[in-house]
Amino acid sequence: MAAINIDVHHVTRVEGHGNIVVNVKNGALEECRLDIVETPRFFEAMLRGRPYTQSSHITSRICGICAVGHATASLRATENALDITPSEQTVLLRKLIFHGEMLDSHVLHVYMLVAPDMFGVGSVIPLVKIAPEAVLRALRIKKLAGDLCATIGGRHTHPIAMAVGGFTHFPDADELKALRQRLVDARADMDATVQLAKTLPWPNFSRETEYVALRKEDEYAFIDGTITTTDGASYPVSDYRKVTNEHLVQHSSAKHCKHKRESYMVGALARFNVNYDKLHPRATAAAAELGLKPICTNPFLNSAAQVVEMVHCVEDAINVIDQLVGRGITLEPLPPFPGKGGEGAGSCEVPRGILFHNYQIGDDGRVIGANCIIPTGQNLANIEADMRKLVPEFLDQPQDKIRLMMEMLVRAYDPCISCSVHFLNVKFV
Amino acid sequence: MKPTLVLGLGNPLQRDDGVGIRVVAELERRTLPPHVEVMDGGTPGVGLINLMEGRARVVIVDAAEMGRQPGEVVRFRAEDVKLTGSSARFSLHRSGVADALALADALGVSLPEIVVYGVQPAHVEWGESLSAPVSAAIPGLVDAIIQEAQSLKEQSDGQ
Repeated sequence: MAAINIDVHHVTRVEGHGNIVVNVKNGALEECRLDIVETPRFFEAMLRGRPYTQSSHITSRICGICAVGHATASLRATENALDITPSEQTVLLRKLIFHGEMLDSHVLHVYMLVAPDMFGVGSVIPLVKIAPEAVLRALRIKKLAGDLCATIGGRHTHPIAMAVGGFTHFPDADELKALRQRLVDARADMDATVQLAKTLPWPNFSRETEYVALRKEDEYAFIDGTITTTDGASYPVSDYRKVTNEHLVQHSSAKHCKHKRESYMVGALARFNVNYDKLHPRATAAAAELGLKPICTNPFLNSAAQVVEMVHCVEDAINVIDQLVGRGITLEPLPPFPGKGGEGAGSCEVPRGILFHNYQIGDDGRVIGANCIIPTGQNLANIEADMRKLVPEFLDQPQDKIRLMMEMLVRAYDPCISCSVHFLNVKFV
Repeated sequence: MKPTLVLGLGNPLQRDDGVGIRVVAELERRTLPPHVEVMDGGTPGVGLINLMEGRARVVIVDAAEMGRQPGEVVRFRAEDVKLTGSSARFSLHRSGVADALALADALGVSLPEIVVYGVQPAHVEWGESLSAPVSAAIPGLVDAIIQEAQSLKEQSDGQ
């Protein structure tokens, strides 16, 4: 058998850069790895010495897509460090904006990054020719999600109103009611999204692994909860290091994570597997329509789980608005600095999986130390383990087919890789 | 909604990539014509299409790899240049502007009149400080954008 060498530089359509390297010799896999840039190494350096009130605003800039997610994990870490308990209204407003960001991210991933593969086209641009109504639908959902985030967060793309212990800007009842109507109207687009996902040719592949997600007894957990795994382990967020166990591996500049097995998976599929029983009935129906059942061990179906979560987020956003309107919005002031520092971890489920922030704050209210573990970093070892199983199953296929499968696998994880430079490349013509 | 939007784009945690955001922060301290709104757009990716919706004119300020000297500012219209990074390498963060415009074009979405102020970056790795030449370009850039916004108003008044 001919040797196969695949070196996909800069996997396209993932958030940032990633290189896939595969070497097969005499029918045996010699090398199989994913090179990826991970969490900015200067995370601690950029927070050290800053007032605690700034952490969420700075860290929300790490990722253009998970701004609310980073802000929320940051706020929860700070609040835990300072022993500040957010009010019921704050919890509801955070849930609502979180649903907006989840919807925003998932719709982009499913429609613009995954669907082109499934339709056999190189990107969303040619997809417009085949399925223009689907792309317009995606933009319509994205607009609703963006407007939801702006209404609660105070501004498009950056949630400046989110603060330690509360909000600095509040939506009024009319704005909330208008959003509610748009969410109700979006049910048709959700149904169409489920139908689209149903027609996509999902690759047939599976590999058992451990799935890790936050879990709560009273809801499908996105913010706070207990770290829970499908192998039966559970830990409080403050013990996150017992799950992540970050370690250096020889072939990668990024640290890998593992729990009891060689790897674990986080993200929509992990949440679905851990929290299936907490989904809204409409989301459970969507899962049934897609043939998705826990425990699903096909990583390609992470994108299908995202579709199920989109349905859930629309329904729960409607519920949360009803609660907010029912109780009435109060212009709550922010809690003062308690006068004493401390250490705390915060966690939430951002679109790509469980995210941890961990801060030490001094008695002067300034950050002394900070740590952050992003979902993609936790998934690296699992993606490689999938690749090692996937490649031998496709060895009889043409090299281009293997390359595409590998790229699709990496994209299925929706990796968010340090959100690298986005600036324009311009050629004057 | 104000007809003219000045939109700063970029990530201030990636050194010179944040120049658009710094310019917006500076513009927010200045007195602007009443028809002009200034917005920190961050890195919106294809969300840029939604941010521009309903505007007559959009002035984008962003770091742009143009093969020029660091800090050099070039004003151009989107249709005057080839914005690379689209289609073959569609990503939500890389070249978000190019991808968004290509997608809008493919969909036949009508866009406002777009003027881009591109600033040639020197450093775009993680970090918060601007390079000296990019930092030095900001005052002139701010003045130019205020003049631009004013002239756009005069143009529309004359129509």
